[in-house]
Amino acid sequence: MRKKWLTSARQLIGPAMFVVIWYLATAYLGGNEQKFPSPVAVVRDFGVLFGRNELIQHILTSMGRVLSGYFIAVAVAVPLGIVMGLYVAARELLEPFFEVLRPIPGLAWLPLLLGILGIGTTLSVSVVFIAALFPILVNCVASVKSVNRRYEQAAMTLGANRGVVIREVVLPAAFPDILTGLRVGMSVAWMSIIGAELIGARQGLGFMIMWYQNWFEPGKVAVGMVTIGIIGFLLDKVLRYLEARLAPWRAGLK
Amino acid sequence: MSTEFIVKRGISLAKALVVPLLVVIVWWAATLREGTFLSPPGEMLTGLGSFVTSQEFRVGVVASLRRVLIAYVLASALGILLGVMIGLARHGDAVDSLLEILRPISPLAWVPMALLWFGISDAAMIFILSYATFFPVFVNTVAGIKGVSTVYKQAALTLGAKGHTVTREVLLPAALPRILTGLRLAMGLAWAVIVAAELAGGYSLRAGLGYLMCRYSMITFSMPRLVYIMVTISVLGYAADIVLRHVQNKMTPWRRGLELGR
Repeated sequence: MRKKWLTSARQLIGPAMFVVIWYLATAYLGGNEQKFPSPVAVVRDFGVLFGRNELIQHILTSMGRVLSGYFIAVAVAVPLGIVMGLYVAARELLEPFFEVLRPIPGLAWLPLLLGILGIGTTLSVSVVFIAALFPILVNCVASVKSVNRRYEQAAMTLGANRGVVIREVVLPAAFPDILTGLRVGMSVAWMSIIGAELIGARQGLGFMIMWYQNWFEPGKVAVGMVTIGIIGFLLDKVLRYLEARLAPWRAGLK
Repeated sequence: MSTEFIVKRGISLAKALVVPLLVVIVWWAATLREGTFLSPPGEMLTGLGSFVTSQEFRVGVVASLRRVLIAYVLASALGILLGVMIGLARHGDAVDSLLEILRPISPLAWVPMALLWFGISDAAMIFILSYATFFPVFVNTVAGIKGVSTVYKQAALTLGAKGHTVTREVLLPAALPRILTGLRLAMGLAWAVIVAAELAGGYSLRAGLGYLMCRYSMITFSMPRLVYIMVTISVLGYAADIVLRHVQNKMTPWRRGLELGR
């Protein structure tokens, strides 16, 4: 117990040192408040943005967009990935098509979609969808494909039919790797929403930091950056927790 | 080549073309509506030759490529150097945790700050790209150095190697596969980040693929040109990955064997 407390205290040393160095750098190196905000200024600006409910609004907007795009991507990629993993015919039809599109970064779709859809929520959600789709799909196909054939043969020998084998053997075996794909997809989705909002939005955290850049308010930009970092970190933690919770045998395998 | 082989290839090619063909038909049908910004599929090829050979396109490719390469070389060198130092140092964890705080902050969140610091310039783009490429290289180098089995180190020490030799002959080669993985990840990230960074830089950036995209989406909309640029970005990213994969196979040939043997 005491040991655990000590490790978590140790983990705070890094952040604390970081803030101290940052403070000293801005205080004594002749920092320019127009360019380099001190931690004090950032805390003050946080209070301002939080007090006006502005920050919360932008957070909710970005979260709403990223989750919509992400869940649509999951709803498309997971079933499709499972079918492609199971059936050679589906792979032959779809794999070349996706392999051509895959190297195009999700954010490279932004200008084209901006011209077609215009600025707004549909644009951001579409970019997140495209960006998250590929990592989830690729992981899903690979994990279903790589399930050891022995397991399937064993189940069939015991009299299971194809449907039972898929439901009871293939999917549970592929499940941990599918979850990993979902986590990677989320981190890509979060990065993409910020990128999309920098350019094609009138709300959201990406828009907020770009807006205050225009007004030369680096403190408020930094508040946005820290918020983006914290949310990204928390989303990753949630998905890691789900991974450990839903596929506990995975940790043992590693 | 037997006829059987050719027929087989022909069939798989035909299968591969089914979905793209469907997409083109749906796309073509969508352009029939009034007031759409979509160009019909037929128009995609007519301007290709003149655009790809234009001065404008060449300048754009060179500008983006230059930014990526400068940032990549700088950040990789720094990432490997710091990674090795922190991986070896007794209290490396402390410095590591200091840098780890920045890691969750997406490179794209740095775009406005970089524009404030450096203006809309090459320097801003290089800063963002360096930030993006530093972390994959650094994290993998630290993990690579720390992951080396102590048995190897002890064996080398027992055989009379000095600390320096151990680092050069044992630790670095053993960490090399992880470092190369980091380098490949970093390159992929750089190509994903540059588009958004250059787009945010906008029209005043004057050169680069993202600048061209900004121009052909916000100033004069041209769907064919946007698609050419998208394809260019994916080809450049893909080519860079092939080069790095080749380097990986050349420098760590044993890795391939390990993967195949699994």
